[in-house]
Amino acid sequence: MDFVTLILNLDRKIIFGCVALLVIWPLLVPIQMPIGTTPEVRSIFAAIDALPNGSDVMIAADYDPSSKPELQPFTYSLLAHCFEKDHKVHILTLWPGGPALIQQAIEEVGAQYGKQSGTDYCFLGYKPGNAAVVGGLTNSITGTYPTDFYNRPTANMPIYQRVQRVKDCDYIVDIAAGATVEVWIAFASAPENVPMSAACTAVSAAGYYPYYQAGQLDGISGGMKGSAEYDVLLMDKYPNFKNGGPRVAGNAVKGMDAQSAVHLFIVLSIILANICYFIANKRQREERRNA
Amino acid sequence: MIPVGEVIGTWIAVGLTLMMFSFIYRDNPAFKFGEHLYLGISVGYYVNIQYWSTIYPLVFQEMQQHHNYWVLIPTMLGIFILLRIIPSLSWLSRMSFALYIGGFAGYSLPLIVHSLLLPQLSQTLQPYGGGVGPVINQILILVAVFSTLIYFFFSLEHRKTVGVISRLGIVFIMVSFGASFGYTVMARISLLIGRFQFIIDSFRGQ
Amino acid sequence: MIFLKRQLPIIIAFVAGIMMWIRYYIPSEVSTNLEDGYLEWVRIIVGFAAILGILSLLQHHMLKIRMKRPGFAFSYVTIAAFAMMMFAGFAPFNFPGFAEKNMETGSLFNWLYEFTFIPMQATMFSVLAFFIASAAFRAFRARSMEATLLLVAAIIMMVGRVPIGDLISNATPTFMLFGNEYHFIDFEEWTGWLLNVPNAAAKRGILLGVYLSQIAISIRIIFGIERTYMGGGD
Repeated sequence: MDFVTLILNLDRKIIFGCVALLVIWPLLVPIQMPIGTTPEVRSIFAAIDALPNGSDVMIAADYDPSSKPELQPFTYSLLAHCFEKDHKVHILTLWPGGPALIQQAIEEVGAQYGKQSGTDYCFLGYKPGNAAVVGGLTNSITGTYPTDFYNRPTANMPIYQRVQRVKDCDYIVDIAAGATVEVWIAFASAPENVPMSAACTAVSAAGYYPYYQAGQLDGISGGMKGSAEYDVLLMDKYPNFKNGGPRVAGNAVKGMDAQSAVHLFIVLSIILANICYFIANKRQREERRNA
Repeated sequence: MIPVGEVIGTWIAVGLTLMMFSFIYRDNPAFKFGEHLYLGISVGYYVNIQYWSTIYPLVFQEMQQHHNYWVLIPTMLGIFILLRIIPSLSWLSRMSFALYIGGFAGYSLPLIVHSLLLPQLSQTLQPYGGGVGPVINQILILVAVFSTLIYFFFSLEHRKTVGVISRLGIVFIMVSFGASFGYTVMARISLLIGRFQFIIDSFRGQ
Repeated sequence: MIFLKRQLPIIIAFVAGIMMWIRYYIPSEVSTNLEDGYLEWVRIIVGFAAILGILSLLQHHMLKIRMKRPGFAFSYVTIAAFAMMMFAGFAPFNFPGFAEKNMETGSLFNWLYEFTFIPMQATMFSVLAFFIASAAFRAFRARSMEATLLLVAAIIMMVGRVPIGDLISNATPTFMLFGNEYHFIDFEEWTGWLLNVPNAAAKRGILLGVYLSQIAISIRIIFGIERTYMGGGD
């Protein structure tokens, strides 16, 4: 069997093995490639950073464990950024699989900053019905969520004495694994005129560019890379993050070497397979001509 | 000192992760066990979440604490939906779906127009300016949006001028799908990194 | 009975649809209350609808066990796991060593979520990484102009949106144009343009089609032309 035939009939288990190796190796022996930032993520960071201290930020963490590595680091970083700026955080989820993940993030980051539930932040929890929830929030947050995740009444919480509805919030960020970004734009951000950004899984990132291009989203963070970029921006602006201060997830940054290695492998393997494909085709044509 | 529950849990989690990964080799009883376990766990989890996040606060607490008995109507409609699994009573679910789907059609209609359709259209047809590069991009966007729409417009036969425009449309669609594919690869690899990171951290005791 | 089964749902859909549509154009306290009330009802109804899917799944596994279909033993695992989760969430007493409330951090329910649900769901989706790499190697061929475009765009994205792309870009020589310095290969610039111009435009074309069809289907539902939500039967 010659090289071309060997490549075209390569056992998929060899590719599986290469992928596994290229993920594990950089995780064990990090190269720490410098991570560049894109304008899309810089815009989210700048928008949150430009809000006056103590602003109200509504965070919709609409994802579940299937996209945890991509989005959970972003949730940690965004929460840390908001608390660093003393913003009030209203966090909720439209995904049933999400509440416990968000609970971990808000409790951990909140504790690091000494923030009080009900005063500095409120974890509203999950309610079903996507647009029925977002639409409800435009009329009344406490009406849509009479109790928070811990089943405590929201109406008499200090955080809801100033803020009644989405319009009273200064910013919306949807950390989304599915199509909820459109729901937030259509039912909250656009009608109520509240600026918004989205951090989504890489699968759906390309699909939200029409909204970014139209100015309906200030920024887009795509997948683990977007989360890593946010971490980098946070560390550059607030050196205490770099010096072992408030612990943000940071897992996204750790994963970037492996991400680069596997991407490079896939690209090279596609190119190699295509070269072999064209050589094999040429040979076939020649054989047919000779026959 | 790490709590015992966390140590045991971490090892269970590592075991389950490897069990699910065993599918890469081939479909096998260990994976089948994991798959069915996942199904049961997730179904139980979702029932709990739906009950404690929706039915309990919005129905029972509303009645107990605020004496709001109006919630009995949507509760009844919700129960009608569950009757869909009983063939002789499944027609009752139509009332619930009619209220939900019909009402929602009316609710979302003006918002789709005002919040999505019009801003996207106006952005496509905005006045040109900002230098040579941006103007070229704006023209490209207009051409691409129009040709993509023509590609999906099947009331006209895709021949002659329409054929050329729709062919141009497929060029843009393919570039867009390519971008999505690149991002999809990134997403899947990220998930794998997340799992391996978890296994490595577990072995390191982090 | 025919009226109840066939005409009443259409009347409900029409009345609810028209009311919710019109209230948008008449901003008042009445319309806000109407909207609020309707959305609250929907949230409750959807809560039950989610349970419907769960019930049919359990019904499927019960049937599989009763009929002793191939692999029925695994259905016991599903039922047992479901029962365990229900017990953890609804048990009226505290589990020793765990937090008091059912969903609080440190509760048995939360423990099961963290150490079983998260790893299994996350791994299930991560396995796709192997198959997408293999599929790209075996099936991604520049067979036609369209396939080549897709391939080139995908390659630019794959390299350009990860740190290695920046390293490659920075390693290439630069040239001056209109007073600005550019790299011969600039993945950040290329991917940015790709996503913001051709990608955004093509996706917008598709989205405009989606919105128009959503509008059309909404009108059809309100006026009783679209009745698929009623399901089959009489």
